[in-house]
Amino acid sequence: MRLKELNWTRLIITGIILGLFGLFLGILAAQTGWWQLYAQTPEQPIDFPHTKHAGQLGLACTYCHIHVEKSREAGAPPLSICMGCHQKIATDKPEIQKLTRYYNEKKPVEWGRIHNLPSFIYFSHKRHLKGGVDCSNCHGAVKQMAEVKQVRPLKMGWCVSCHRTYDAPLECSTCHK
Amino acid sequence: MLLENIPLLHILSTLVWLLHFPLAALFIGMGLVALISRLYGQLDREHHRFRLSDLLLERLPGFKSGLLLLATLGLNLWVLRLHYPALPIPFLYWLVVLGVLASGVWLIHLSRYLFQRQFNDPFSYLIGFIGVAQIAAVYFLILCGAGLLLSPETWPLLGQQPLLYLSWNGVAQFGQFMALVPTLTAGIVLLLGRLGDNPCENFRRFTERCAVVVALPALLALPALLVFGLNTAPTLAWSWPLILLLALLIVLAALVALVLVQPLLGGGPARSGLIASIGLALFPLWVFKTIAGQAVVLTPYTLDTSLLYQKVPLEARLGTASKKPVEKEEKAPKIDLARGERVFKSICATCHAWDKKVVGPSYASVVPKYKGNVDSLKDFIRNPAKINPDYPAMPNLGLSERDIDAVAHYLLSQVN
Repeated sequence: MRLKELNWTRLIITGIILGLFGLFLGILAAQTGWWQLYAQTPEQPIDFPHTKHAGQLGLACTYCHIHVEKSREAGAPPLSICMGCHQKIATDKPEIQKLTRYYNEKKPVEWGRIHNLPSFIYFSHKRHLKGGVDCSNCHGAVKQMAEVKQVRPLKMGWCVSCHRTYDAPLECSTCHK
Repeated sequence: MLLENIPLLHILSTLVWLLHFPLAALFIGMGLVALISRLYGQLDREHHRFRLSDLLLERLPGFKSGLLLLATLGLNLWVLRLHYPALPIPFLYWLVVLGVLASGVWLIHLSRYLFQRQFNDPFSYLIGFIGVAQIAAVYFLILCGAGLLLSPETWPLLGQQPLLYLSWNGVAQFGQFMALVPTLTAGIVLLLGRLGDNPCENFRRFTERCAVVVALPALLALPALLVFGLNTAPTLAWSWPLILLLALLIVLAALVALVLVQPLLGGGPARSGLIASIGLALFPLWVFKTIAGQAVVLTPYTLDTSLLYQKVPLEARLGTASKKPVEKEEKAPKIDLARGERVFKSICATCHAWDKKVVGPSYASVVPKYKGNVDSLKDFIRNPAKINPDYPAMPNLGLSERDIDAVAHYLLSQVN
């Protein structure tokens, strides 16, 4: 086909349409990549079953997360708390043996963080617990989760909706120190 | 499995949406294009515009379809109410949504009646446009509600903050629906252009131009609206099925757009059947995409109504009143065995059983030692010391004096 015979209008309009839709497919692909890389629940070094401890056994969250009422961070429990029971209980299970190795070698368990707030946000677990917020309000039904994941958006609008409903402070400086 | 958390009835009601949304799209799209085409026809005396308007009004879904639209919407709202009791759907909402939809359908039909009786005055147009606007407004409300299904954490707050009902995700979903409407309508317009055994060539070409004007801007906007919808949905709602359905919607929309513009670029007559079929097929994909998001979000983890923003006093959460002064506690009137049993079941039974060792020793092996010495047992519960090296130390449970007294008496009563 000679160049003159090409229907340039048709070619250009087809190109524009394909380009536009291709652009949004590209955006979708990029966002899917971001979601896969950064928004997935991290793998944990020990397969800890909240369903067993908080669910079946009915342990209060504060039984293991001992700092949650006293500090900003809930924190992971010290291994001595785990070993209080697991010196005797289920010692034949591979995950408990893994836990015991960490304890004996005095190595910290590097738990993957699931609930991340940006560094410019001041958030205190202690204040929220004192204010009567239940752990599950922000963390969902952890006792039913085989694998804990984030089930609330943890976005500003979400925080503000709750603060507004319960007459909690709405000043910027409350969370943006 | 994506659908494991979605009740069967909800899945069945999803199938009802597959019928409902295209039907609603026909009312909005055919009504609006008929009105605008007729209005332009009056201005430029182009008889093809009148003909298209007449054909669209003639084939507008009838009252039975209107009733089907109302019935399916009412049914689906009922199913949602049934499965998600925490989702506030007050009677007023039903009344407004169904009432406005019914009156919208009626107004469009009244407008059609007036046009068919040659009442081409502004009043007939006004009635028609109000009818279309009412139906569109209902779907704005409905689809904002669909956005709400992706954020169950806001449900308990709606009573105090009704504006939380509106969300950017709801706006995006409404925008997507309104972009799908012209695509289906363009397919209908093209099919009308080929109607009859000997279709008029000029009219066919007119419908091809008209279909491009109607559908192309909406199709070009659709991918942006889909990506906007994804970004305004919580990340929790993202899943592979959702992303694949979005990609498929974008690809199909691109295909329709390319096929649609071909007649204007010298590519022969429009493939009306293909455009109408894809225009129709976009609806189920779009409904499935919406359901895919909800299937991930509406799980027991997020839905348990007792977990939704209820303020729980600290003592109730911990099952204690340890922060209260001891003096006040000791005014407990009498031995409260029922309270003791509650404390036993909720706290002690985690680590102790009567007849076997669990985390701690069996009660049968330790409680009898305290027989007749309740104060000693209370001292131990108040400040547990490691006694038996075979067991881990019992933690201080921080029970209130009243709870300690109740549970100690309860334990000893079981031994007696």
